[in-house]
Amino acid sequence: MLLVEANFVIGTIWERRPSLIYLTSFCQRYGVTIVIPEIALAEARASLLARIDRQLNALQQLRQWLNDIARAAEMGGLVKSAKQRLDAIEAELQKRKISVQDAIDTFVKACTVASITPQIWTRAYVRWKASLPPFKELDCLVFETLMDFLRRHKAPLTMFLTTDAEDFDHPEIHEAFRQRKALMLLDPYDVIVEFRKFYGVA
Amino acid sequence: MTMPRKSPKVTDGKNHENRLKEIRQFLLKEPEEVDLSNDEFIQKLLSPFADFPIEVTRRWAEEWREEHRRGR
Repeated sequence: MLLVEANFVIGTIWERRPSLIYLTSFCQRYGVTIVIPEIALAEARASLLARIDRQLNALQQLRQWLNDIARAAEMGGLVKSAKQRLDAIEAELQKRKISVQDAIDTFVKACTVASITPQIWTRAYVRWKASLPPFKELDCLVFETLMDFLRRHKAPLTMFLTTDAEDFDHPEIHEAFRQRKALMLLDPYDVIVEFRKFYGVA
Repeated sequence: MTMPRKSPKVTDGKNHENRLKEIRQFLLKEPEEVDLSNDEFIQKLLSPFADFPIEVTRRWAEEWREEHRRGR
């Protein structure tokens, strides 16, 4: 079982990191469960779509300026042709947005999404308020979601891969995963090595 | 006279062995050595930004991480 967070999705889709693509393909081919906390998935989805939404908003702004120009400068004809170009750009951006949503949906189908419950939310809030690692609000939610998931699900090999060492690489966090018979690893290649050991390839 | 049926256990055992062999073959390769150009699942994940230069999308990822670092 491989537990991941938003960096895994961003690292695969945006950065096209070979080790992450390799792990994603390996898990999907051979039925290794990838677990992603609901909040991490929402964060990744929002980030991947944010740039396109920003461009769509910019287009909307451009249309308003063009309307002003058409009225004030009496350039209705020219503005109309400019708007036709904007329509083409918008259609392209919408197409891209759908393709991002499809990609995320495809990823989700191959994953188990660990849901947030009010109890998890409360524990994460207390952890965050008490300034306990991983310190940030979102990361506390990710951490508590995974802890809750691991209380209820076991696998012969369980690893949590995060590339966010700054927030997660603390002895308390390592210990919490160890107590739940899981390893926290900060480098995708270390995960590959663990899989190799598990399957007797190392 | 009917032919004796194969024991399902033997077939399952063979399938398991073959699968294990396949898994090991995959794991023996380094990430850069695996050809995933025909892997539909991976290609669907990569398709939205496949035409973007990698430096651009990597910069976006860095900017996203920087935003996360500055978050509370």
